[in-house]
Amino acid sequence: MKLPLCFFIILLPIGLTAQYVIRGSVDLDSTWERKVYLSLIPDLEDIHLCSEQLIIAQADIQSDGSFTLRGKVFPDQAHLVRIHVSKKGDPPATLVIGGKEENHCFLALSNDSDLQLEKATTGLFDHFEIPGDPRNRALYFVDSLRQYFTVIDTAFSSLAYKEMVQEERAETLLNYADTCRFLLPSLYAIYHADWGTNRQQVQQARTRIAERFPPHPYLRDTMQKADQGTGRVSLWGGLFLLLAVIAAVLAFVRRRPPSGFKELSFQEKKILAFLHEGKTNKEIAGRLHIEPSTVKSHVYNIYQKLEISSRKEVGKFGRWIEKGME
Amino acid sequence: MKKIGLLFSLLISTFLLTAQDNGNMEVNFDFKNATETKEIRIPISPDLKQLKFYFSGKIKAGRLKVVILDPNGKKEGTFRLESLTKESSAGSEKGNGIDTDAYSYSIVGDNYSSASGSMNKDISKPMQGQWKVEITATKLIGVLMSKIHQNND
Repeated sequence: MKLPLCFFIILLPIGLTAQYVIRGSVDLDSTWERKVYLSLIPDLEDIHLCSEQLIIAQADIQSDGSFTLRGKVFPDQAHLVRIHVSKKGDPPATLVIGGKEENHCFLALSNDSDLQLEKATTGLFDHFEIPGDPRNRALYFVDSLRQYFTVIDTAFSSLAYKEMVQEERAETLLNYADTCRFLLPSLYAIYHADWGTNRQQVQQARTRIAERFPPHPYLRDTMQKADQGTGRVSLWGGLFLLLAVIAAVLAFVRRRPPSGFKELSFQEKKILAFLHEGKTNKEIAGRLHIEPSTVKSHVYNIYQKLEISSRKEVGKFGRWIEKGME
Repeated sequence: MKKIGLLFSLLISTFLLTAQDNGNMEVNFDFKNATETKEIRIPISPDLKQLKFYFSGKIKAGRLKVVILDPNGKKEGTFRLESLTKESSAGSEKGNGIDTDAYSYSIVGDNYSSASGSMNKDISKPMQGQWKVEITATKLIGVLMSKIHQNND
């Protein structure tokens, strides 16, 4: 019993102090500030959002181009982060998308990440590698797939061809998302499979991801929609169940003879049937070969048991009278 | 006087036609605390070889969003710049519509400052039809320069 406690005491501070480390190197000319910034992407829709509010860490770039970013990504789960540099005179929050001076790259990062970025072969951060980190390799693979289809897309300009490539691209990326064992690359693949008009397909893929992985802020919308969907199903299910119960109760009540009816004797049931036919006491007495006063006594008992006060009310028990006579 | 006017009109129309033939478009926007959506429509012929977009923006406050959409409505490129100030974020639950909770890990704190960005997008053999650029400004103070070039060489 003491051993697990010791482990817990030893591991607790390690868990509390876990922090990421990103080491890398970048070739910058004199037009660039020698600082590197790390931005936390709050949502995949914000992948190309540039705001100083997103910057969670910064580090100096040494004369040899090397840098080390350290810190703690406060959300417990791995998040997509963006590393970028800015030109001199530009604000720290600067994003250059496309072209030779694209100034950023994306990484999957968690508090226990220890990443070593290999220097880009072209551009500032283009085609970088992170050996030994399968999650980031998967992310990189998604980017490769995306670029492959971008190249294919440029072969012809016809609408039919472009649509075919779009569909193929979406299918490939969504298939990858379904089979990848890491959440972030899966979501990244779905993000790039979205071309605006296939939202339903994309939403279904996100739902499958939400079922496969633990809750994550990037899946917040999907989970909310799923919850709402489940809520709707529960609501309709509940309503249906309630209606079914009411119907069953009504059917049971309708099938079940009134309690007073069960208390009637055989003779009383016969008299009740004659009453239902509209016969007078005298006629009933004649049919049953009994005295009219006896009939009157039976009628009195029937009224008591059925809690009625007139012959008109006998009609209410018509169906039970007919059944009782069968 | 009439002749001068006619000549001037002729010159202007020639210039416009030339600009249209080249397929070049340059539009600059200056937003002064503006909340609006602007749209640039670009009709693309079936045999165009290259469509180039370049956007460059710098903002002091608010939010700027630029989205390039192909004729099918697919996003071909997007970038967003945001800068919250205490003034712009005050007065409503989410200020500019930006979820400030999302930035709770930022090292910047309350002293929000400007943001800048640019986007280069080259599209070879672009899909024929009506391309669109949607520019959305929310309480925006800033500038945006846009260049769109159609190349058939």
